[in-house]
Amino acid sequence: MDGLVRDFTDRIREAEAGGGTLGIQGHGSRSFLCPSTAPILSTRHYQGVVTYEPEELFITVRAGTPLPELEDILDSKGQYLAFEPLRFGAGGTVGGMVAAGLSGPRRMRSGPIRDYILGIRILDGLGRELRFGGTVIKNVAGYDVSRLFGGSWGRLGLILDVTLKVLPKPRSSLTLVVDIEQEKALNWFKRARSQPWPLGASLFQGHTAGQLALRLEAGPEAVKEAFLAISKELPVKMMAPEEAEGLWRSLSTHRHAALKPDKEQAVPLWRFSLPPGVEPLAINGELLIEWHGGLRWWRGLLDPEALEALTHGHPGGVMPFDAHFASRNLSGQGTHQDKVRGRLDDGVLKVFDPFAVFSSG
Amino acid sequence: MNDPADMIDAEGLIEAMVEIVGPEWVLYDPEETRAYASDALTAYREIPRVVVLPNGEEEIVAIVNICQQRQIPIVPRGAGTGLSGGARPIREGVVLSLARMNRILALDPEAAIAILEPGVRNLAISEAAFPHGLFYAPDPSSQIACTIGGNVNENAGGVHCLKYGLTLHNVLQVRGILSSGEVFECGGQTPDSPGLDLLPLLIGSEGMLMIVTEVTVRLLPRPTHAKVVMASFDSIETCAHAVAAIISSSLIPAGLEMMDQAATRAVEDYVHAGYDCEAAAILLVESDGSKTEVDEEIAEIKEILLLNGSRSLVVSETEEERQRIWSGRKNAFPAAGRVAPEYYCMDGTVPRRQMAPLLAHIAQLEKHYRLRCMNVFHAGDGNMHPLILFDGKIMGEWARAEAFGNAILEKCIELGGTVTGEHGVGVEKLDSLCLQFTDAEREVFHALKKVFDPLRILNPDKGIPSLRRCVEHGRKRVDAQKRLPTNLEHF
Repeated sequence: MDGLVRDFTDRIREAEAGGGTLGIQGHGSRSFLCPSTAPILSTRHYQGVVTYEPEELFITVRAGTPLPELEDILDSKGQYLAFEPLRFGAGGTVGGMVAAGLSGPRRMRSGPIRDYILGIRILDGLGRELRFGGTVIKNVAGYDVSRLFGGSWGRLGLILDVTLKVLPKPRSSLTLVVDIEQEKALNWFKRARSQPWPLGASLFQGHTAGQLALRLEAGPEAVKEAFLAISKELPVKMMAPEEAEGLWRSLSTHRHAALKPDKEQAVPLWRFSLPPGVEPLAINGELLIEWHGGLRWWRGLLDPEALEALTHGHPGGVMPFDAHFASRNLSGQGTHQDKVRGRLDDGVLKVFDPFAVFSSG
Repeated sequence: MNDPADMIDAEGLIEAMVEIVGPEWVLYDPEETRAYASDALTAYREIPRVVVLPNGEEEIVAIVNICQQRQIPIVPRGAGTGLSGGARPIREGVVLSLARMNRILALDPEAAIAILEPGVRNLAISEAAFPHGLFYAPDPSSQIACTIGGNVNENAGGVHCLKYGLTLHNVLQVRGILSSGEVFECGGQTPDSPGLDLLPLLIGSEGMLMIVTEVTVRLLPRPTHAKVVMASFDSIETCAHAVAAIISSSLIPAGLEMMDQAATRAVEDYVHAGYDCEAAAILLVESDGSKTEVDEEIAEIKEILLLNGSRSLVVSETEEERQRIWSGRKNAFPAAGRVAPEYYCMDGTVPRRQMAPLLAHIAQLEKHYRLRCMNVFHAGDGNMHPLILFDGKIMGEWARAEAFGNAILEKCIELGGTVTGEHGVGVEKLDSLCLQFTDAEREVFHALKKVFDPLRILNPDKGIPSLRRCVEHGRKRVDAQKRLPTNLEHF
């Protein structure tokens, strides 16, 4: 593995000296969101577990480790990645997962991926090997640099290893479904927020009316208790476990029918990141609403004015989930951004990559 | 020349401050500024030139602009409960106290968030959220006094962070003033916000990157029930082993605290919490949630503890009993203050399995430095708080206590941990940081500071040691790495 690190270092130094650029890639499963024309620096052979200590609740893995492989290893010890990462195709690599920072269905309960980054080892744009953070949950020595890499889309440097906090899998899971109006569903979440229910994920699919699915995750007694309490408010039914697993998997793998591209790929898929409490958006057609209202997917044509009208007055971002997603997301284009933010982002990028070796992501 | 201001205010700094905040909110008489000479780590003191207490963002911007023009360092300060000297004044600088900015600007139970001024006390957030069935989870032991602005700057933890996370995990947005005088907002109420995720950089930045003026936190549903198990052990090793057994099961307790015999005895004399003073160590394990959830977990916890060598255990049956059991842990620091004139609290964190080896090492160090040490710690996350007892009036004792503390921190790094879990680096652990990071890594820290604070006026010379300091002290990480046992993955 050291030989690979030397190769990476050489290639970065070469690029830096010659004014070249490099695009970091694992399996390329996320490259439809960040296509790069730069020469590829592949991490796919830099794989394997460095350290896994289940009773310490952390795992250190190399960036090129396939995500499904990591999940199998954790599963064998009854543990999991609580943030339920969003993945595409065969699942991609751990490095790609961290760099994209895209969370899956459990986001509102678990927090984002970056919350689970305990430490990182990187090669920066000068080819320097740097370590930040560690393996312990509490660590305030120096600035918290390791978490900066969550959602950095490979712009800050090459991730070699990452240490992730892992957790025991919930002991039981139950999915409830109910037919409901969209507005009522969104309002219900507002009330549910102050209730001690173990609400692990939610999905509304439909338009003005549709189906709401709620996933409860905790010990068996707590799940049962929450089911009884929710039943008093909504006429929920239990979903069969296999069906439920398929439903949530269709979200975490981005294969839900409403998310799949149309044949001509002419109609974009929009990703609305909003404060969860925002009322139903005035758009036609089927929506998928995750994260208790915080994430809404919609396929359709929107002109910039219509977009502005839709999200006016709300913080957050609306972006097509396409080849420009990563660059738009990093630059904040199409959102309420300001110049101070741009300057700081720029400054931070230059700290790690002064010669813009990784500028193309 | 009767007014002290005339004597020290050659540049008209005080006059300028008075113009911004009014005369009653500018302190410069040493009789008054003395109260600001240190934070809770009182060994490091400096009387500041001036203390300013602004009320509102506009006043802060005006103060920062003045300081920026004149290159005067600013030390932001919350309640001054910090334990690493992060709020220790800089002699020629301004202490910016945010104590007056203590309003809860909004509390939205439907969104489960609260928007706060930096001077809002940690406990006041949960108190305000209480009627809505919500609470703010991070609960540092100083929560009755410490402020959310300070919590953000230290990434404060507490007893419950194994289950509920640190400040970082519970803050959605931070707004503040950069040293350029510009307002900067980071994070947001949306689950993800565009741009680089700078929030983790700001949280725990010890006042070195910006002055926090507003914090948006998430609130969680308040658990309706909680119970604590108090278990006794005949040896530190068995106790540490039981901790590992609990974590290896599928439980994440709300709290998991360990105390050694020196600590239980000191505490028992003080608050009569009902601790087993004959035990070599005791463990407090808390479960919270709904009644059935708690009963389910407590039964499981009891079983694990008994299987793993607990010689006796007590479960709180009433809320009063639970509070009494916790009162011992919560009063460990003042109890230390009763058995010795002074104590020096450390904050290293090690992987859980290294707790017993670290404690054995500390026992040896006690002999070497001829000082007693009592140990309380957040066992669930390996965050240790050895309390070194000393008497500052005895010649050389403070120096020995400091050396003792540094030896503990070096051992923490060697065991794969960190020199500070939640108290911050401040001025106290600057030298230890030379050991934990390489020159290149510290260069990155300095460069990041420069991005936010190019003039270096925000709490300069705290948090990150200069290259020169590390060279002068002859302490570098390379040495530490050489000492590492080979079977240890050091990351």
